[in-house]
Amino acid sequence: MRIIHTADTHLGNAAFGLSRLLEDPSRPGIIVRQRQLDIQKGFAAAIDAAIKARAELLIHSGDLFDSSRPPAFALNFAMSEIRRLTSTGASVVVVEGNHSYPRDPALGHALQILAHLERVYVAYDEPRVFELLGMKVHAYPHRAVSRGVWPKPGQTGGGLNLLIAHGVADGQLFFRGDRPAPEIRVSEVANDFLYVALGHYHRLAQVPQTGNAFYAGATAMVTWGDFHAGGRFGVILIDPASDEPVTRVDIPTRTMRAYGVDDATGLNRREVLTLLAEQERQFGAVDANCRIAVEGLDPLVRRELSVRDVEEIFRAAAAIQISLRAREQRWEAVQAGLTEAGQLGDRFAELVGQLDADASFKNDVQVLGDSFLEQAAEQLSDLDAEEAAR
Amino acid sequence: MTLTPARLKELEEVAENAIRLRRQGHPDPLERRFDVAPAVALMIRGRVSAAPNLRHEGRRVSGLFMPGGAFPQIWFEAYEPPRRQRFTVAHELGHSYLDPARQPQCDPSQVDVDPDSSHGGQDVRESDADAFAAAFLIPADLLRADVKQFGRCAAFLADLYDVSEPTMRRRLRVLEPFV
Repeated sequence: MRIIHTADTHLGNAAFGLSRLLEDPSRPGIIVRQRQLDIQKGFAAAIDAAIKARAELLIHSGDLFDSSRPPAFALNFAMSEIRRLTSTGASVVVVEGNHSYPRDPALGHALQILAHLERVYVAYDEPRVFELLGMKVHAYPHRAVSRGVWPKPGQTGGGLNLLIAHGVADGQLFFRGDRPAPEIRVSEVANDFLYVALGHYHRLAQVPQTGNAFYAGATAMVTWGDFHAGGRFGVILIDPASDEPVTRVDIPTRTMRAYGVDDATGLNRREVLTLLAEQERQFGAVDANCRIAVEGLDPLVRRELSVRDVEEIFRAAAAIQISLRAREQRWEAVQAGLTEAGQLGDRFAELVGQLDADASFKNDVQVLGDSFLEQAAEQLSDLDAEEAAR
Repeated sequence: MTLTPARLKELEEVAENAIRLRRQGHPDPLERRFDVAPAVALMIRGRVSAAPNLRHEGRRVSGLFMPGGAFPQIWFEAYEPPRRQRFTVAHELGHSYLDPARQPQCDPSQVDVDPDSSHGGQDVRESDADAFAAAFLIPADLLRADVKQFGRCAAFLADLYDVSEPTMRRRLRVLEPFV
């Protein structure tokens, strides 16, 4: 018996952010973001993995869709991919997650539509038990779990049992992610099941204190919250007869790369860009999802450094997230800095000297600044005189 | 447990010896993302293997070093993330260098721990092995050159050395006066 466990596909996610735009190969004339396509490809790769492993069952632990009202193209894509697998004779069980349940039950559930497919079993609103492959598959959807419905230890009554659910295992913050989901008491019931298939946390992980409870993780980077440099996405192959009954199967997903400078104090614009370019030469950004974070920039340098400068270095990336942050400047620090540097004019000359610009531009800035400083000094002098007269 | 500068220096030297030995058997001595399991197997002249749900005396462990006389073995947890596994193998190698006759069983909470946040809860042998592992996976000479070339970015450098970002941050902190 071979089972593939996957979760958190989030089909239909809009994948906002700086991302390459391209034509959807399956929908001529429709322009989409690269990351939207990656999310679809991730699900197709999970189906490929199930077919390659000759799996008899695929279990999806929730959030197949990103919302309770998925766009028609996402629904169509999900159905065609699931049919590709069920046509091999495999069965599919899908459980409702916290993203994909309708807040108003009167709207109906997208999973109801999937249930029209042969050998597809869905669980929404209430727990369901499906008898498949000589075992009982206990599916606990989000809405039931959030009402506190959960198996009691010993409830299964023996035999082969599989548990599918979506939530935060044992309330561990680690598994919470960036969106709230109900806590589920996994470790107290895990021993009653052959395997516990979980969804919500977007990385593959085993629940501590259990030997058989796993999050499969997402199959692509759904949001930047899923970004982890060098990381991979995958599915889990469950083969109880094997020496290693649970195996991670990596799927072809987009590379994720991190770049940046942790503390750019004292670096000018050109030096920051040179370091980023050097990093990009080492680990090419081509077709990768790239996160660039530069911290502690001098405020003046931050004003000079534009997001476009950085985008230019990483122009070959599929998607980028850029964060350029100036060092926090408190007035006391500014004052102290001015005092340390001596006269205001000297300090200004020093700052102009740090500008990443040609000499004539620096000269113009210096002349302009000097005249402003002179005017300010005169005004201060007048104010002082008025004060003294009073 | 926070290690003293003197102890860190000693561990750095032990790790440098181990790095020299590894580089002898490795085709590319500058390789930063070397495959740690076969390299360490060669170094201990034994076996390094993954095992699912690794236990010792009924307790879950991340890694296990079994001196075993002529044929030492290192086991690591098959279900932990790859970078964590890599660190665990180097950590167990640390035990083989620092306390070769003792058979440690490394509780997951004792491996790859931030000494400043462990509130004194980490055994000194384990913090020694952590410091060794970081120095072994991230050789000081290479890291210094890389910080000069690429700047200080823990996320980028962690990816470069195939270690976790917290591990890289700790390593940078230890080498701070020099990088």
